[in-house]
Amino acid sequence: MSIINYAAKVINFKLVYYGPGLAGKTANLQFIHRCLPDTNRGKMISLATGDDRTLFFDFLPVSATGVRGFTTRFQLYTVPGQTLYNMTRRLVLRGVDGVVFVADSQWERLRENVESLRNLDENLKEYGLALATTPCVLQYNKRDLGHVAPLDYLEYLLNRGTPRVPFFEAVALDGRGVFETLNTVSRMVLVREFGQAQEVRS
Amino acid sequence: MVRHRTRVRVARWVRAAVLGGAAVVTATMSFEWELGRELVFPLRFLAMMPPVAYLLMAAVVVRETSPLRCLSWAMAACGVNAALGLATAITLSLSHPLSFEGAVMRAFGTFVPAPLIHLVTAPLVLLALPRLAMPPHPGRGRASSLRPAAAALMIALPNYDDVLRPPAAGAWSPGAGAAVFERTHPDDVAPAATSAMLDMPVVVEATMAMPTRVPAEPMVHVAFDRLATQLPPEVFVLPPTPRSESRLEPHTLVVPRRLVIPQLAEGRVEIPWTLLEDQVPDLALAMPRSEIHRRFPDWVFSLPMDEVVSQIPTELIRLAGPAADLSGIGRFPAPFQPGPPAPETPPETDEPAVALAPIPAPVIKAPAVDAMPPRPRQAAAAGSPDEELVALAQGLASVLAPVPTLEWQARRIGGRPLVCFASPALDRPAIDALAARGLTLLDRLATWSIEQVTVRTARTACVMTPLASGGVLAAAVHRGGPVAMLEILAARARGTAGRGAPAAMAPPSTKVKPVADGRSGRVGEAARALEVFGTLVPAEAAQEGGAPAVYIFAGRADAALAGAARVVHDTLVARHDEAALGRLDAVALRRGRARVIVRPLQMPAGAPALLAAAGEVTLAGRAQRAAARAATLLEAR
Repeated sequence: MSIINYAAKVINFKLVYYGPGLAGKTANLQFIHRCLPDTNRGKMISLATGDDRTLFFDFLPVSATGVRGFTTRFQLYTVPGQTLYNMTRRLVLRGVDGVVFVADSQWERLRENVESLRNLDENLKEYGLALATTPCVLQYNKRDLGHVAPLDYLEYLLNRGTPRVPFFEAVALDGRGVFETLNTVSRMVLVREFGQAQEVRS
Repeated sequence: MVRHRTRVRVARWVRAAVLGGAAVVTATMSFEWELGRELVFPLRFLAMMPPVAYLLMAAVVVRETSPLRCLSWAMAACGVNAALGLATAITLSLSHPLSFEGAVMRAFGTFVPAPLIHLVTAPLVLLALPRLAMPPHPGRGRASSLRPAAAALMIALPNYDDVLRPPAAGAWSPGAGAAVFERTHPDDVAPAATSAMLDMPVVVEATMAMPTRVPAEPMVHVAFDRLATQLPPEVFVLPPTPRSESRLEPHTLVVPRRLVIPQLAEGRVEIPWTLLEDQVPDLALAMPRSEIHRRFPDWVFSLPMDEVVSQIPTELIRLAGPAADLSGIGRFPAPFQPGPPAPETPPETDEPAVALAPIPAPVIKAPAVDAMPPRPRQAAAAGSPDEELVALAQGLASVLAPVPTLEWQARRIGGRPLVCFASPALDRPAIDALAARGLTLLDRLATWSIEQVTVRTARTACVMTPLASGGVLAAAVHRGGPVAMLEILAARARGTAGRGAPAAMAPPSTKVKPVADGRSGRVGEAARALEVFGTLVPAEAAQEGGAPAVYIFAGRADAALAGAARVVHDTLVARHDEAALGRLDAVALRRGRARVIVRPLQMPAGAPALLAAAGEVTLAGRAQRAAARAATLLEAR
């Protein structure tokens, strides 16, 4: 749910990067952080374990285009992908406006993808939300690796809802697909917030 | 592999020979003891009995295959019967004062028990030779089709049909999203599916010969080697490779596609052992099948998804639904316009904040136990440390309280306190000894002002932190435990004043030279793998005396780094207690953002060698993985 600060003319949106552990959620945020100009980005907060596993969550505030005289700010969060941190994931999802599900394309990680997607659905339901109605984008990450599942099967596995959600192939470490994903989910959030017929000021 | 295959074949032939021999001996002994001599059958009846009986048997047992195959099996049985008769005749002529002709007459007719015994034994001998009975699978491809056809006998393979036939008592739930292995009542299965299952052929080779008679059921073939790691070794008498060879369908497991399809939506395919066991011959098993069922009642194989999905027709997994509708978002411009990626800068972690505002060293009197949160307790085996040590340990325990189930012991080494926290399940004496060696290491590298040393072994991770009071805090958890949290908490406990270093000793100076093939070759690859440490200049310190060779990856050819690595080798690697702590993987030295990772290398020649990588690192886990990858490259050099 967006937070509007009328005094400062700022609308805050919350985007959550969700997915199984080691799928590349933090890598997405790190690349975004590297590529955005200082004026558009805040400090990235990250707490990782010694093995680079996200312990709590990553946080990166970024500002974007203005809409109807309001500055839009997106707060990008990741969740810890490891199974035991479900309470943290649930907390991070509170007030979410859009979700990027980062899937690991490797064959041996398919099951974790499915379980994580189901976990996302369950956690959204805790807040009265549903995947079908929440702006959501699928990102099939690690496409540069050799041992990855074909796109057809990944779609069959993870994107069988009605309606289907947009998806992107990505290599988050190199930045491939990262901004396409972010821009798409951001625009979906804006569409939901402002409707399709509103005038837009860049 | 060939030797094991031959061994399996020989074993089958031996089994058949033993059966035949037993029949011959039984017939001969019956003649000796005059058992059944009063039986009299017409010779014509006895002559006609084997072919008729075997034809009837073939018609019943292998009815689902071609008539030609039934006939060939009956002929094979007749041949075995005749061979048994001849063998009995020979033994009769040798063991009794009979002419060979007389013995033949008795073996084949006038002594009725003999032909009856042969009649029963011949199919059993064929049973013992499943190669003769088992039709090659169509999935085997050209090699299978070129194999000469042999007499088929499906009963030679007990229950193999069960894999190919639909389950009789229940059916796998076919719906996507349902519990995969939930048994459903047969009535619940959709009629079409049931019908399809009933139409399924049993003998696939027959299907190849007569394609219009029975359509072949689609099967998924999985390389047996891909499943080898899922096999409990105690179940098999053969090691994995010959185990794979010994299978009825060597190197491959076949699974009906109908069992696979419903599970595709789960991202994994699991097949119970009970559906695959008949593809593994008894000879390869170390225990009866019933015992396997008892010990592993829920044993399932996870099939490799790449092999499975590649054999699934694309139309079965292609989504027919409409793609996402993104027409509405065109009204909004892309909110983010990325610039060129900046050089990788570290994300802000909470660790610097920890370093800037550390908690004072807990040398003050610890609060009352009742007021404390649950915190590490003193190990039962501890001695009787002095009050100052106890106060220090209790203070540290309160800092380490977020890490559960730690026990501490405290002692003095050279007058300096060493407080050692460890999970109860770890080998306490070995951890204590490791901590003491860590203290020595910190002393010898005192000029480096190391803030923390983390030793990772196959079983544990031990974080050693010098304290402001001059002591050392060591904390060990199981490998995979909260090491990062431990590092953070230990850093908090470290104190602000820096530690009172003892007599500082600089690491010994060592001659190093840049590696000639630093840009190419294995060293170059290792340097590239270590790029998370920054720009590196690979250098090498040659082995000298007992000192190991050191591959150095740092911003420059750093002689001090080589010396420090050798100090690590002397204090930790060479004296490592591998039996108690597991293989020593890496030692990480930390000072601010600078990290040095030292890994012992297992070089092919057996000579001791080390990898030492140094640089400013923000992603410690990635640095560890990079060092491991580089070590692997160097070990293959």
